[in-house]
Amino acid sequence: MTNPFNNLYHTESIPADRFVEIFSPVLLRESKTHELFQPGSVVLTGLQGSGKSALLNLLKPEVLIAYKNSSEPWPLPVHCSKFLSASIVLRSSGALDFGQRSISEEVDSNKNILGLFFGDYLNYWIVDDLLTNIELLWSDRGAKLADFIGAEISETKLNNFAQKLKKDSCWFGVLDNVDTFHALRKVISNRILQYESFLNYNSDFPKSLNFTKTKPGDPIGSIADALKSSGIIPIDLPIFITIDQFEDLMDLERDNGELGTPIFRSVIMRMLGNRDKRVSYRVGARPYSMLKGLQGFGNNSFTEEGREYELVDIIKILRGGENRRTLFQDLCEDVFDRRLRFAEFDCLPKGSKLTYLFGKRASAEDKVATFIRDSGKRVISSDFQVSPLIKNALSEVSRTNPISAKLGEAWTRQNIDSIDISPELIMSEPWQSKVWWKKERKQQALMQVFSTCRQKLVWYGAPDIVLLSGKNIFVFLSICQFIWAEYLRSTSESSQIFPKGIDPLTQATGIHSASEYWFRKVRAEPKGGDDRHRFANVLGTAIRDRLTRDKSMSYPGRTDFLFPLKILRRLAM
Amino acid sequence: MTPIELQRKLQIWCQEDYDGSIGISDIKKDIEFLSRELYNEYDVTKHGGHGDFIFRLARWIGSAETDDDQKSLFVLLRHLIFFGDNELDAAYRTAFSRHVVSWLMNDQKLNVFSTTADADLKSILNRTLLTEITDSFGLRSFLGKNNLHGRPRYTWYAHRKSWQRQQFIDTEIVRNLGENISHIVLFEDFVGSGSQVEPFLKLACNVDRNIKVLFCPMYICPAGAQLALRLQRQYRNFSFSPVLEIPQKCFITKNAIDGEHPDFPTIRKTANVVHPKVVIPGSPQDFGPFGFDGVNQQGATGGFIVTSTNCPDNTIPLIHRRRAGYWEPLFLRTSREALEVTP
Repeated sequence: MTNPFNNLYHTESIPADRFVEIFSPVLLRESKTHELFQPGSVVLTGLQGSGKSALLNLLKPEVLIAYKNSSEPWPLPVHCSKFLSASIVLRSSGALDFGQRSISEEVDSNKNILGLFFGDYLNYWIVDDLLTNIELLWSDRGAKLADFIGAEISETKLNNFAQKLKKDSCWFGVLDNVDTFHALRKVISNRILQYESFLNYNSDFPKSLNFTKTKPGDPIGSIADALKSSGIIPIDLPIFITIDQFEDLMDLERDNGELGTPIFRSVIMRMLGNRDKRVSYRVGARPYSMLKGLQGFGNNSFTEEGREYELVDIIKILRGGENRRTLFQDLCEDVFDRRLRFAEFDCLPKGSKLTYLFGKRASAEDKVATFIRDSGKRVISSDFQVSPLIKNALSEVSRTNPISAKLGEAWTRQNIDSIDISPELIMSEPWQSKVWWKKERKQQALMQVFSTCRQKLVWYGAPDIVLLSGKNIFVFLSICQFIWAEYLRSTSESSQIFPKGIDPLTQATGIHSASEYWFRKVRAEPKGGDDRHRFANVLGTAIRDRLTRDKSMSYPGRTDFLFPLKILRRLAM
Repeated sequence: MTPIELQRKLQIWCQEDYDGSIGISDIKKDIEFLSRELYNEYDVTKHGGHGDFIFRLARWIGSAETDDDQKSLFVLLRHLIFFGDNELDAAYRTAFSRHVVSWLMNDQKLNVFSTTADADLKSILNRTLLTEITDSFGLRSFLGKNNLHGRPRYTWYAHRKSWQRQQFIDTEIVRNLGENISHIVLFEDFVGSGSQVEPFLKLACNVDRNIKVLFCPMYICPAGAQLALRLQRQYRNFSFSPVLEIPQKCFITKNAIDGEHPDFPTIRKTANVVHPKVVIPGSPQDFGPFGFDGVNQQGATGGFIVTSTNCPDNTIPLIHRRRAGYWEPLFLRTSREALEVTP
């Protein structure tokens, strides 16, 4: 039996025809995400693994073609289906090699020039990808999509397009000798190769680049114009340019000692701030990389959300609100379901596979009954200074309901000085009628029971797993991966028959392993991971101790803490 | 016990280790990794019906009767030192390039900056006899890994009953290296108390007091190191240079000592409890719960060491001894001496 969750980043590593099987369209139910597929620039933010890259992948022509050829329906309305796109993933494009080799003393002393070279490299890379996608539409494989978006591509038109293009002054003469589409492609790829060759120490810096640097975004707009005026694509067809992993530029800026001036990020903000109607940008970024009022490169104009670009925040989309249900539960269900089908499991049940496998919500009472043996003898605190009769009455309650007994202890501690508490009153469990009082303290009671009985607190069941995922699909998959790995170690089943449920102990062990893994991961992160690890450790221990020591449960929500602003300011300096 | 039963038990132990103070979860994670990446290198159980590590682990843990002893065996794994094939390769390379070459250069006062340094070293090497004490070292493999061609091969243990000084000089030295031999090196893969190697080291030192002798074990326990240092004081022509000396804190002693690892009292208790199951009490090969102690009665070695080629006798017997119907080993040892027949 295989672990269907072994590859957490499936959507980034599988071919397009399989992507359509595994991609979950649940997030697209939120109309805010449709802005990615309509004209206008968009910044898509979300934490690691929140699904940014998967959403941006939908813009790729290969994926559109795969949808055309598959039984999976295109997951968006018709008005979000026709566009031409190009994309650059900063980490894998070579753009992050900038700064690993000094171009010249002049560039070292004036980082703006380095920004211009970086922008020039981005321009050419994106243009190259756009032309590659035009060639894809021209091929047999892309013919169906070309028809759908209204593209009409021929060699004559392409050559005509190349000749129109070279007349644009934004190229600074680089295309002067280009007469055919083939020659155009050669010049563009050669330009990229010149940069790569230099950055990899295979050649000196080509002098010609000093005099032909292009403005951020200009050549891309030029290409869009020429494609339309040559009749290759319809006048009204939107062109989307995707730039993913924006946050990686912060490392590049740090390596260049320029964290104070976000030189590389501002190049991209300049592209957004151009208000160039010819192309729309989609930038995939982690939230921390989007500083408020990030300036556009070179012109010091601020690029503003709502004016130059729309912000689509996956965290907000998944957070839900007072009046609407969060999409995260549905996303988990769908992703889980698709993973299992992708792994070709047999005998998949109908309905929620998540609930089928992990079970329904386990109450605090269920958890105690499943995990704690002889809890009745140990639940009531030994240091509880109260008459033996009352203590015995609480112990009696704990025989049948340890959680109620623990709540009873808290209730007794809270009321012992104000009302007359008798063993009979305890046996009638008056706290059970205080619905809100009880609800707010149940988890704390559970924690105290497990702590008293020297057991780790447990989580299991589908709702717990979704809750622990913290609205992050990557974390959800990771938890599933660990639980499944634990299940594989504890079963002799080798076929691909879907299990008839995974028992609570296996789930709890897997969840603890996932938790340890993520906690270690914090420490391994660069840029203060070790400090954050210690902070979380101290904080977690302090909160846990506070909750377990508070035997009267007088303040169950006491998990907040104050952080003086002056300390934050000092840290930011 | 089956692997599935063991897995269940581990889950319960993890759950009961509520504050992580025992570290069951960490050991479990490490073992899952090492069983895949390292423990499968163990030669003795690679073939035959021994089963993968995870099966042997389950049978081994299941050999103990109580839950506490089973948990104690599992905790013992935290202290297991497994020298795999890659570690042995590295030790071979280090033994030659760092220990043998440095010893020869220091002894001959070679100038490393001299233009003839390389030729001078080759000349000394041609007057050096490289030998192994027992065949478990793998001299042939050592020579291959260090790219040493046309060297004679000599195993001291093979001549233990018929060794004669003159015959050794005539056949091993004069015939192979000529009259001008200057150095002898004795290698061994693992040395516990040193009782097994001591006679051969003395023989080598007494061949000719003008011949320098180097003893270079790959891994050595504290008792063996002490013995070698004693010989170094006794014989002026003897040097000792181990690749890795395993510190005393990695060994469990018969009686508790100050500053020992907090796991050791529990492991000691379990070792004593299960010992009558592991070995037929009072049999000739019953060296006690803490392993072979050599002939000097200095106290058992109490090791947790396993090499990919075999498990040394100095390692506590509950790890490597089999007694059908009573005890299943984790890393079965192949012994030179036939073990007693189980009744």
